[in-house]
Amino acid sequence: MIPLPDGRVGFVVGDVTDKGVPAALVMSATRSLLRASAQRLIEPGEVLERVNEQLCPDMPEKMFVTCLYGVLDPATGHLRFANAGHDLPYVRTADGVVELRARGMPLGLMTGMPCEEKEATLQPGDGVLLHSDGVVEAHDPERDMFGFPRLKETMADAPPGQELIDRVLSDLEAWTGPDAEQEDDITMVTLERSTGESQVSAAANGSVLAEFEVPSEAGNEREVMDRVETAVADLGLEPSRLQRLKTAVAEATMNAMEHGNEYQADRPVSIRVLHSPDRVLVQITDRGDAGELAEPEAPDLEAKLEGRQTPRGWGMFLIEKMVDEARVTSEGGGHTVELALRLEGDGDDNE
Amino acid sequence: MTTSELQAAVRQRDGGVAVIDLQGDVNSSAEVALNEAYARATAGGPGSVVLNFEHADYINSTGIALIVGLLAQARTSKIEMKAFGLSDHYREIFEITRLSDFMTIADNEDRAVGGPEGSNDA
Repeated sequence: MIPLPDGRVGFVVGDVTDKGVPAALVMSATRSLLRASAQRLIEPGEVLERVNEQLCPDMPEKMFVTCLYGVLDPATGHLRFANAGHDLPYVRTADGVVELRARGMPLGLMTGMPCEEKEATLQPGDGVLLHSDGVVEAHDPERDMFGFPRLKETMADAPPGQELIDRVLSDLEAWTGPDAEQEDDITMVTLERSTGESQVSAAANGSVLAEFEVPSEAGNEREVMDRVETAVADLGLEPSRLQRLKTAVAEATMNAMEHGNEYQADRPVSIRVLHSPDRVLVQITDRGDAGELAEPEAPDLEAKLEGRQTPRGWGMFLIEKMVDEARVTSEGGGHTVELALRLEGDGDDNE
Repeated sequence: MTTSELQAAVRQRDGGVAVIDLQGDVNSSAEVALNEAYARATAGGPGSVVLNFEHADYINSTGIALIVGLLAQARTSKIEMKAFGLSDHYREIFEITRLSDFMTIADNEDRAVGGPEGSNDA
């Protein structure tokens, strides 16, 4: 775990090929490089790419490091991660256990390797299990591997935290037999997002100002704008910044109703308004099941006027211009747009 | 707040200027009203069409797309488009989207109607 600015937390799990002193030295070097890069760089993909560049020149032959690095915002549950060839972490959600997928080659193999970066949002009550291949590659006396499906099943049934780790270890022991010698080292890390109840009390990190749903019907974005305005009324946002937030909220809600939920009555849009000491966050979640939303083409007014581009396609563009930060995450068959606006510039308000 | 369907009325002003007074929400439900008003406004072959946003208090991305559609038609017919009555917020959005590069945004109706480019200067 690596504490980062803004209260965010970096977390990392890794595994080096081979054993013994050379492997330990490589792992030690990787740890130091990661900690140093994590403080300088924000994007997890960039961090792993930088560590790879620094590791490669001195890497012993036939040795490499798999590594998963993520940055978690505990106030919102927002998670960005990149993976250099490590086993995929599992997330236990209300809808079942899913994998956190991101592509990347192990570190130390060759320079110039890109590391894909992905995002997800942990909902209250969700849990993550990071694990090394010593778990799934453990064999039973018949040489059958424990495997990913069994680990996923254990994750689905087990309680969170240390109890999950204990459950995996006891399932492993049952699989390999009590007298079996451990074949490979085993690393497990769990992360849990506390439920909303305790989060409200954790006002220093981020309190929930409002949480509600609206049916996916055209025009309901107006209601969402008004309710968000009411929820942030005491934060002293400058009127112009409030207008921008409302426009971003309206556009994100429209996208959720239209593209995510396809205006289906049984698929509402969920809205959460959160307040941390320096910013307001609005999370807008649809129940779409169409996988990741397509990246919209950047609007070009001249192209639109000449008929080379559709006149539409302004929504995401406006959202990004209106707030300080806008992120889209997809998981478990839904998409969340998170809008962040700093609370600065409200000095003139006397209220 | 409830949504309000767009009403669009057309007034002819001297000098070949048609003004479209917009009242309500400029969103997807405004398409028919807006296009019909534009057709009425341009039926007499005006030199310019002025959109009055004084009573349009909500414009969303679909509304922007509708305005882009009108602007494209106007350019084809070589009709100048102008606008006035935008709040600071929507004026900013017209700037961000670059709509203001293609239509003069005036402070009030007289300046919008009064002359060609530069009419919104003091």
